[in-house]
Amino acid sequence: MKRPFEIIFAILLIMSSLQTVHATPGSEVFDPSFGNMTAGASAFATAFYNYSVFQECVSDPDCGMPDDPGSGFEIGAGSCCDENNDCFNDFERHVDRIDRALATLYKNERTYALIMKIQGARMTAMRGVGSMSAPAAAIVARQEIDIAKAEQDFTDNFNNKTLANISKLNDFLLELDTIIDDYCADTDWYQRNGLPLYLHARMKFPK
Amino acid sequence: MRYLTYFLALGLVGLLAAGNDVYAQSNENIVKDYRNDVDGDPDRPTRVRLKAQAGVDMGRMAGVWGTLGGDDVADVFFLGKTPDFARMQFDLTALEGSSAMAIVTAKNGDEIVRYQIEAAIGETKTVWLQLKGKILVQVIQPELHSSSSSSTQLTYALYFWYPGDTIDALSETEFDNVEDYKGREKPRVLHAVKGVAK
Repeated sequence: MKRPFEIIFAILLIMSSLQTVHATPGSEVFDPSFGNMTAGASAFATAFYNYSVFQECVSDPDCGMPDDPGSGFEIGAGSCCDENNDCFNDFERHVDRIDRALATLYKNERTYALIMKIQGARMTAMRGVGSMSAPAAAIVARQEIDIAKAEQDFTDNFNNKTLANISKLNDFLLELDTIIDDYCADTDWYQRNGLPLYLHARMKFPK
Repeated sequence: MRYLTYFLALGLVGLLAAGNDVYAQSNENIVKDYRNDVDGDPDRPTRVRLKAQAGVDMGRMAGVWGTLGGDDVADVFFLGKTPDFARMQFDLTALEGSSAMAIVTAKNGDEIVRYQIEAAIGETKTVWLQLKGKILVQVIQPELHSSSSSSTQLTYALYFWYPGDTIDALSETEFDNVEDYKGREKPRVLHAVKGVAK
């Protein structure tokens, strides 16, 4: 063992070269396909969310306009703000935020309906199995209780989340009222525009 | 001692630079079959578990980065068992060498359903399937199975994506509508207007 350092060096070099062979063809060959796949999945998910918002808005007579189903609600700032570019720009910016909050409520509404639909289908399928024999009926009866409980838990969670989202929406509306008040005194904007939207959300979304 | 430090440092640099693949967190749920060959026997499939994946907003996914060629004529994967019909996306790319075929089998009691997904070299095929029961996927080189000639090595990528219950609940028409909706902007629920709103 006169030259231990050279031996160690040689071993390390061999290990390095073995690793190089082992890594072929290498992640760089596959990575683009992974990126394409995730981008496609994200596009699909976005399309699903957007489509859900659209469907829910159209099916709500207060949201979809009869002459233009995709238009949704209209909301005005009032004549004083209309004349002032700064005011109207601020108004539009805040309306965008309120629009996103409302869209979330409509999207979640659609998701709730779809989940309830699939739970209903499962319950029907189980009852079909349960009608075949007495022992099966006993098992199905127990499972029905579990499904009903799961549904109730889901509805409770949905309501909690929905009420929190509606509260946020109301905060945004009150904020906008303050901004319009800064530009134009005594507009009662919230009473005329914000409150009806808040009440609509409060009536429509919680189960 | 100085030499020892020098050689160890050199070796360490060599190891880091040449060998170890450092994968980003974003694509860790991938079976890397090009490193460790997956069995081609349908009775001994490799279990693939779908998991949540950063960058994929809905449901769970998994993938295979694989090679076939020579004695390695097939790779077989078991995705699990679904009690209800589940809509899944299969995304197959034949990256290099030859075309690729994925044979998807769903076994529900005595009922067996099979689908074939074929991709030419450089091509990606994305297919949605509604499946119920035990789901197996076998990847082969179709040329090898259609002639006796020896094949070149195939390098392929195959991804499985289950977006979740809400997609299962869509009717065929609704599902097609969502597919057509790709690229559209989020609809406006609320519009700012001048004057008095309707």
